[in-house]
Amino acid sequence: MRFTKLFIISLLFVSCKKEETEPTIESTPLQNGIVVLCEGLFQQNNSTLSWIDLNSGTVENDFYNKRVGRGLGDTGNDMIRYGSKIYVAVNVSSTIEIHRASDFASLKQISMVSGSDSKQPRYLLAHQGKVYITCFDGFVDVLDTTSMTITQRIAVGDNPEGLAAVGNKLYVANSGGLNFPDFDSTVSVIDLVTNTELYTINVGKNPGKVISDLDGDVYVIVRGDYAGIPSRLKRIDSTTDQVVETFPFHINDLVLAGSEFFIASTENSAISRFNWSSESVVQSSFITLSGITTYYGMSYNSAQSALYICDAMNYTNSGYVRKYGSAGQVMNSYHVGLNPSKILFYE
Amino acid sequence: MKITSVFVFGSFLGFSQVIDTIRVLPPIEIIRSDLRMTTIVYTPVQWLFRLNSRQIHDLNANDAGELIQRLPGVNMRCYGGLGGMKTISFRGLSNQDNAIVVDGFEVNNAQTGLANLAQLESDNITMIERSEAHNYYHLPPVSAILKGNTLNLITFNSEISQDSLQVRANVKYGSFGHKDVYLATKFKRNSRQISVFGKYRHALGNYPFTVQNGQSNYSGDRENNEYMDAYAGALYSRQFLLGGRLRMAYTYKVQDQQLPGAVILYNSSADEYMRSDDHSVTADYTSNYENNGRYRIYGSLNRNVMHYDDPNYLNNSGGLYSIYTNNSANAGFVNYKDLYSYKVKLMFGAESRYSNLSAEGVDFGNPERLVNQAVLGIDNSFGRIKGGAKLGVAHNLEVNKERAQNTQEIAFLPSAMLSSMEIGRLRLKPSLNYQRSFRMPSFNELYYNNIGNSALNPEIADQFYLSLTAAPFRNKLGLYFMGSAFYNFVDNKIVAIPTKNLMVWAIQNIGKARVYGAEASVRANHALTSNWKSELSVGYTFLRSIDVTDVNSPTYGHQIAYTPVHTINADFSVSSKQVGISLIASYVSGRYALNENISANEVEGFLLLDAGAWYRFNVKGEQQFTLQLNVKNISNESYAYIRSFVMPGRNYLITLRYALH
Repeated sequence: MRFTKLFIISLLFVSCKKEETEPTIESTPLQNGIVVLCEGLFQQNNSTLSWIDLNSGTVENDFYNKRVGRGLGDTGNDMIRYGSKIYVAVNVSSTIEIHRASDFASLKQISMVSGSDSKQPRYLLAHQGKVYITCFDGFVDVLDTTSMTITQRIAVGDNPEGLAAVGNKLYVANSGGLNFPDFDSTVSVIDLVTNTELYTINVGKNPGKVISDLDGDVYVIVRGDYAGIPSRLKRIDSTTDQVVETFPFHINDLVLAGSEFFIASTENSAISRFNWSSESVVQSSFITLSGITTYYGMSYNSAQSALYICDAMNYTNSGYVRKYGSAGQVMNSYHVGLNPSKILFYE
Repeated sequence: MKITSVFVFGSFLGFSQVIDTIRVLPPIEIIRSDLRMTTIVYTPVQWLFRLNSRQIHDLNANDAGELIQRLPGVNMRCYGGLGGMKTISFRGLSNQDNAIVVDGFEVNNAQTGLANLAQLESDNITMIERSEAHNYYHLPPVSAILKGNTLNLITFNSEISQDSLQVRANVKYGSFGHKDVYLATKFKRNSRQISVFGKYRHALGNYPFTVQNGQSNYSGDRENNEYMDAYAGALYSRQFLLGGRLRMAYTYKVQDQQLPGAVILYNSSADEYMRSDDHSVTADYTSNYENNGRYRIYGSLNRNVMHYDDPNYLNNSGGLYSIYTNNSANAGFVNYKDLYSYKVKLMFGAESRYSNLSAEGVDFGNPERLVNQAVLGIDNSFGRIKGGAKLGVAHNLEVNKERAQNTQEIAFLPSAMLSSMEIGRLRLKPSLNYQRSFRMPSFNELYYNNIGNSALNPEIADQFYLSLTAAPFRNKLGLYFMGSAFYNFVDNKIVAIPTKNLMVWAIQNIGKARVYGAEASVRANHALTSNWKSELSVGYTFLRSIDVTDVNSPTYGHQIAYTPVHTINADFSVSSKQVGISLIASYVSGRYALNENISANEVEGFLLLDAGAWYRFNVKGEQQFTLQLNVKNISNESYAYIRSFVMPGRNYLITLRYALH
């Protein structure tokens, strides 16, 4: 019977439970670096933040866990800095994470649920002491940045995505993305004094990103149907709230860079420069995207005069952030987490 | 004319007909001494590839998946507790590359391409065996012969009774609101037999869980996980002189379940739901009279209607609701006959299968598929050496009415085998196998909404397999050993990774994969006294399944997602005729959730320990009651086969069984 005893003892021995330990939180101040929001994949709970130390060039892909002691959740979709705080919208986990910008300490996690249903927060915009949050359930939530609470919900169209503000008006793209292939085609205009929708503007199928320039114009990317209807950039005059111009080029994304926009087009495989004052393309192929496997986002750093482009590779392999200089030359490449999409800079 | 009934028994340990550690085979009527009938006698070594009813009884599994995963070479993927989808891979080849055959009929679903083993009932299973390419004993369907690797499940319903009335029944009550009732009866009059069977099962499934969340833990109770299934059916069979047997069966199954999906950090608002109804009609005729060649003619009709509901999907319709209707029909025959003084055996067969799918509420294109398959094989003995070869051809014609993507594929599927009779006192028996298998992508993989990938290519696998069995001791201490090594070349390997929930997958044609590994299995039994015996079996699988598509890819040389390198199963039992205890252990090593082998994708390995005890007593000799207690996951391990699809912690199951004859 000796082998029997040995068998039972060995089973009991290997089944001992691991001991739990208290989280070790890092709190050193952050400087001269980049925080990268990496979305992860649906239902994998693997959304992360990567920290790129620009002094050493090293990358820390477990940054969020080290700074907060837990995971960010499922599908981080947007991240902004406003004052001394950083806000992260986590779509599938349906949370807003609020952090102290100086060291990324967690200040609050807001559960974004309505009754028992997820609101599914998508994009964030800070304006006049508030953070406005588009939620896929058809609302824009208003977050008071002092009390860190949701104070109001503003009804808009189906599955709102990007948003921008000009004066006391908020422009919200209603994508209707979950009604595929019957997308929405409108932008809601919200009066920020009364927090109510004034009216909608018809802009074209499947509006996504919205951005404003310093002249008060609002630009909307309409993404078409990903098949026969192509993507286009639309310009809305915020004084009349009319679409005044449609730019006849393919577009995936745009970011503000001083007096210009950088415009990404995967169809043209290029980043172009667009002057928003003259409303014209000034350089059609500033950067070629041949070195990018899957374009997934970009940010412009005016202090460095550098453009950072997120490369999602094949969506299931970890991605890269690639840095381009003022002449469009490749300067560096950083290996980050899965599906990088948003970047914040620390001086 | 002298008619003698002969009962053939396996030689393995056993002393109860109800709990048949031996295999009881049908009576065979010998009419003339010059006529030969095929009988199946399992040698002790062959039990290394099988689960007998003692093991099945001890495991007290919730479904066939929990049983099958204990066979060497098998890895299971499981997406939750009771009702959670279960699929298997065998030697690194996906579910669709292996045939799962229940009472001679392959379990097949053209929409998913998967046999969801969570939906295969376990209470009626009396034996499970794993067989390779050249095992034709059960006259399996041609589709299974061409796949090479087959898992045969034999049920109580189909086995021939030796009594005019046989009954099996049980009632179970377990943790998380688990209740089920099972009843099967067999009535036999002369050569005719009718089996009637049914089961109802319900569970709340609200088990607590804890998952690692960075440096912290995230805990909760599983929500939206209620489950119900039920089935009922009847099987009529008739035996004929000269070993013929006709079987006809109808089964209806219904399954109604909430879909909890993965555990999402900080969000527990899952609310999806699925219901499916299955109708199945099967019929076959088998002749075991070898003078004219053993043959089997078979056919089946299946209809599956599945409803999927996501009431809080944020669209204009106020939710996502879709209905899928799968129909399939197949028919075929297989013949296995002797030539030239019984040393040469010829096998041939053909099969056609038609499948279609219609869908409401989702973009699918109503695909139809016709698969025609044929096989011709020959086995020959040269003294102590046995060789075999076969060649199969599969023709696949596919029509997608709305997408105009008609495709046609033809594949030639060769196979060869070389083995020896047992050698020396250790009774060593080596064998070498080669098999090419082929599978089309499923309808889901090709066409499902924007998840399907119509550019997928068929998957081709070339499998090489070398095995060695031995039986060094066969007296008071029985000791049996099996070791094997395998190497598979896979082109266009199709891998599905769950994303949003069980209904939504990301489909990839990995391109080229190399799968290699080894299996070892040991079984020992020891008669402690005249009344007590102990039994130990241990199985180990080493498996490397690596992506070798593109040397410049970040995943080149990496282990493919959810493929554990090490899997160990062990069980130990001590029993008499009245009482028994068992300890069962399973170990699955760490895996990766995605194909890139980096720490962020690591999924922890786990060790599970189960224990069981039973007490049995007879009433009036012919009726037997068994009371059984099982404790599963004794150490309350927090674990998951698939990342975030948490499994239950410690749970209990009390079972009362009744058997007549």
